[in-house]
Amino acid sequence: MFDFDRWAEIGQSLKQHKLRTALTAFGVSWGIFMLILLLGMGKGLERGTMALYQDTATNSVWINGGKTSQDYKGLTPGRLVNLDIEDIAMLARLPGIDLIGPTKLVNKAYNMQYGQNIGSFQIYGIGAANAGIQKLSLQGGRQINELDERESRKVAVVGTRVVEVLMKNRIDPLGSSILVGGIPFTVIGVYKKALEEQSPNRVYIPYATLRNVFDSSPYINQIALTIAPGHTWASIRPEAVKLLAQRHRFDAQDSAALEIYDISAEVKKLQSLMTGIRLFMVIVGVGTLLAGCVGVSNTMLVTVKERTREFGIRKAIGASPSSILFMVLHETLAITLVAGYLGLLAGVGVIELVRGVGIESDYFRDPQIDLPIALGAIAVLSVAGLIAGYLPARQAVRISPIEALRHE
Amino acid sequence: MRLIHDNKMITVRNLTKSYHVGPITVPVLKGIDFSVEYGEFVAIMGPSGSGKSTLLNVLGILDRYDEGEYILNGTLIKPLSETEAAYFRSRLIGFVFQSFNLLPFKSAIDNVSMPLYYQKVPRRQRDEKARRLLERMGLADRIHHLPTEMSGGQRQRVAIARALVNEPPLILADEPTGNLDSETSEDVMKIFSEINAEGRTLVVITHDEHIAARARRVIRLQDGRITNRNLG
Ligand SMILES: Nc1ncnc2c1ncn2[C@@H]1O[C@H](COP(=O)(O)OP(=O)(O)OP(=O)(O)O)[C@@H](O)[C@H]1O
Ligand SMILES: [Mg+2]
Repeated sequence: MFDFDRWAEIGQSLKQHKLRTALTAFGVSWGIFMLILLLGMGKGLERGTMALYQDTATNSVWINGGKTSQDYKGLTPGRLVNLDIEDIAMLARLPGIDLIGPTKLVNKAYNMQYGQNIGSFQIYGIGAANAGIQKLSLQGGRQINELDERESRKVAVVGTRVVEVLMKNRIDPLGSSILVGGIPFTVIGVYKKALEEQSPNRVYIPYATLRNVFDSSPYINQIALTIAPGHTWASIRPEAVKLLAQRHRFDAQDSAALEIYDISAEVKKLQSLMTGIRLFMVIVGVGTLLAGCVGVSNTMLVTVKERTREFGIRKAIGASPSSILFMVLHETLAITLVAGYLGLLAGVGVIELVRGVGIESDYFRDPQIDLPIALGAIAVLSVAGLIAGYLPARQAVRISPIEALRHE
Repeated sequence: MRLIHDNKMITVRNLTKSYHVGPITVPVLKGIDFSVEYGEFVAIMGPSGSGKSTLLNVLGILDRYDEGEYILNGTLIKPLSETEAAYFRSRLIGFVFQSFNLLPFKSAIDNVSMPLYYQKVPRRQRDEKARRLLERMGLADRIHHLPTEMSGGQRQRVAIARALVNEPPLILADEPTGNLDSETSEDVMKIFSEINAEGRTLVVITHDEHIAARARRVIRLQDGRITNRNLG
């Protein structure tokens, strides 16, 4: 494969048309640069969007109570549906439901205190199962577990903002005690980010503890559940809604009575949007690349035409058709691969730069070109180079030596 | 392709060739018969347009012929694939042109060694051989010069070195001195005589009786036919 003489020949003939070679190569470089850039940015878009859901199980469903909008057995519309802890037990029995847990907010604001520092934060009671449905992305420590739940332990997972306010970031919060409404809670975990929350300023405690200590009513704010493998929310939903409708006395057809948020449907929608965007980018990128290759092919055709006499001489002194064919193919391939590689480097460079600068938003983060994409681009390039070279190479082979020698 | 043992470098029998210019067929070779022994030096002469170059191109397998037979070194040359043609050109024939036909972007040594490149001879051997030939042509101090940096006579000597480098038994030359002054012509023809003395077969087209006198035999062509009969 590595034929030094062949490379020397290629170098010699490319050197004769430096400017033209450079301009043609630029077309290919630009094509691959665009392709890489588009794919990398597409990845960033995808990651940014998917990161919104990174801590949430993508097979999860969230149910909140709503307000009825239809008559039901003589009851007027406009009633609030108050979900309660019995609903959890009831739904848990449905086949196809994997994890299920409550979320309950403490209505009253309690002061939290550590040493001299005081702050006021929202308290959430959650079940141990919730850790599997929407895990808090932890900076340290652990989530609330079964044992905490069963023994109604006074433990808390707090946001980084809480630590900042109460402990001024001076000590390790894990294991230390904070007073919540005067009652000491042990900090078992610190989380740094949660969905739909600007700054992490919540205090999560076990649901059982919340009921024991702050609010004994059975009402809960939200049911979170995940669907077992092999099931879909669509198949479970009718039965689940029917059970809830019977208990809370509303029409099962009343879509306002419950607010149901099916993450898998959302994720699926986003994923197909992403696939669409990626496809679009591939088409644009490959199109640009192809245009570059057509440029190469065209230039090589002109070059071959100009070098008719040279090919004639080579043939007259014994060059075989295949050696002429490979010479032109090799030359084209060399241009496309070198130019493409430079474009690839430039593309990856720009993407790394964007990454380094850390342009990041809710819908864009961490753009990257992964190895399969880079390898794919190289493969596309090689094929493109071969295609670009084939026509001119055929043209060169077809040159008859005697015609060529007459050619001035 | 067929092997024939006739013990001659070249045998041509009743060879014809026409050019097609649009709808018109122009017969150029109208039945050529001759043969060339191994080691002979033959000159081809004739007025302009008589078909000398056409004949030599056929002999050099640069062009095809229509009817008749051309047997080169015991092989019937017709019809050949491009690859086979390239093989015979590379192994049997060295061609020298009136207009030199050197590659302008290659130095003398690279031009000379090129036929060996197509025989896949390693670079060092190629360069060694090309250098020796250039030295023999009296171009020791021009080895790395480009053709544009050389005189016509020097260029033609580079071209002859190129024709000799793969040691072909047959050298074909189409008016090799046509672009040279009489003094340089004499130098070049001296080289041809030497080559012939080494045992290589030589077929040279020339307009110059003086030069033809060096040949052992002259074939005279007129209007696509050989005019001087009873040739070996
Ligand atoms: N490619 C071609 N197409 C058509 N006619 C051609 C072609 N090549 C040569 N001819 C014609 O064939 C005839 C013989 O040409 P050729 O080149 O063999 O002559 P020549 O004897 O070598 O002449 P000169 O001494 O001028 O070189 C001429 O009439 C020429 O016009
Ligand atoms: Mg001629």
